[in-house]
Amino acid sequence: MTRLILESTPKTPDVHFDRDSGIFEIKGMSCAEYALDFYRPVFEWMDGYMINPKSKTTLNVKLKYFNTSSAKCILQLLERIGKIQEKGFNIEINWYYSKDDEQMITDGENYSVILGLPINLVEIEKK
Amino acid sequence: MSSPYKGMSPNTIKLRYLGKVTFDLVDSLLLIVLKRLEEIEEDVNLRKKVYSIIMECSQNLCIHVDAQSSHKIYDIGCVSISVRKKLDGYKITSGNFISNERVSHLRETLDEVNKNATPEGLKKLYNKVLTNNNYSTKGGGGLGLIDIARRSNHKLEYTIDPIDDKYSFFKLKVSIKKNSK
Repeated sequence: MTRLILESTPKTPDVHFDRDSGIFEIKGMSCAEYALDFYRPVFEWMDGYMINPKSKTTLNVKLKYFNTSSAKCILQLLERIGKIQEKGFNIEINWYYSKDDEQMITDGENYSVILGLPINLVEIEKK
Repeated sequence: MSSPYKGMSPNTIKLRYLGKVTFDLVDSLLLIVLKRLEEIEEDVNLRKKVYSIIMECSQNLCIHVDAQSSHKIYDIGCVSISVRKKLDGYKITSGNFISNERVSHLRETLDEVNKNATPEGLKKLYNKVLTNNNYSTKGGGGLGLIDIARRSNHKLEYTIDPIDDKYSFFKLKVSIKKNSK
């Protein structure tokens, strides 16, 4: 599959992963009670991509909110990006947050420390 | 003195639900709460903390409620959840029946959270559970109660009252103060 596209719902995020460009984006709310059920196919797609990734992979995380069930899944997603880097490929992780959203900033920083990965914190400009 | 319109000021929220719970019902309640918080709470961080805690509490209720069991006096599938805005912040309470077999494990979890109830201690505990790669048989990641304490910046205040030889009632009270980091 060249692309993985999952439309958002009130409880699950919009997922747009493009193999050709190496740009992956996850956006919206992630608060399903059983988040692993939602993320399992995302992980499977990622595992396929990781066999032969692009020279650079960019992950844009634009989550408005995520619950604790999703927190572990986001960790697994970021771990996979880390593995791509370990294989010698370039990666970029952009973690977007709204102005004044201290928890989202803290969470982004925390993932960066836990995984030893560079995560760029990017403030979302209000339109 | 009480009156039917007491508490009906434009900047408050007072919501209490007592009854059966389903995921759909929780979604509806959360939607109401979110919409109301956006209207009355200007502090983005406080709004998000309150919403997060209500979500974790209510999702915990859904995941852990033992709705299939029968009891001669109580409806074991019933839960209570409430949110109230106070002068200095918000108060959220949740309550559900729990089988006595699960009480010791729940108490251990609550006590572990409370033993580590400093910002640094809760961060360490949160990261320990976040990275353990374990999911409970009910699908939870075990982070809910830690996250509630982390966000409220307070110990978990709870009671577990024995009902009979099979069930107890677990009640969790969470206060979120304004300006708490």
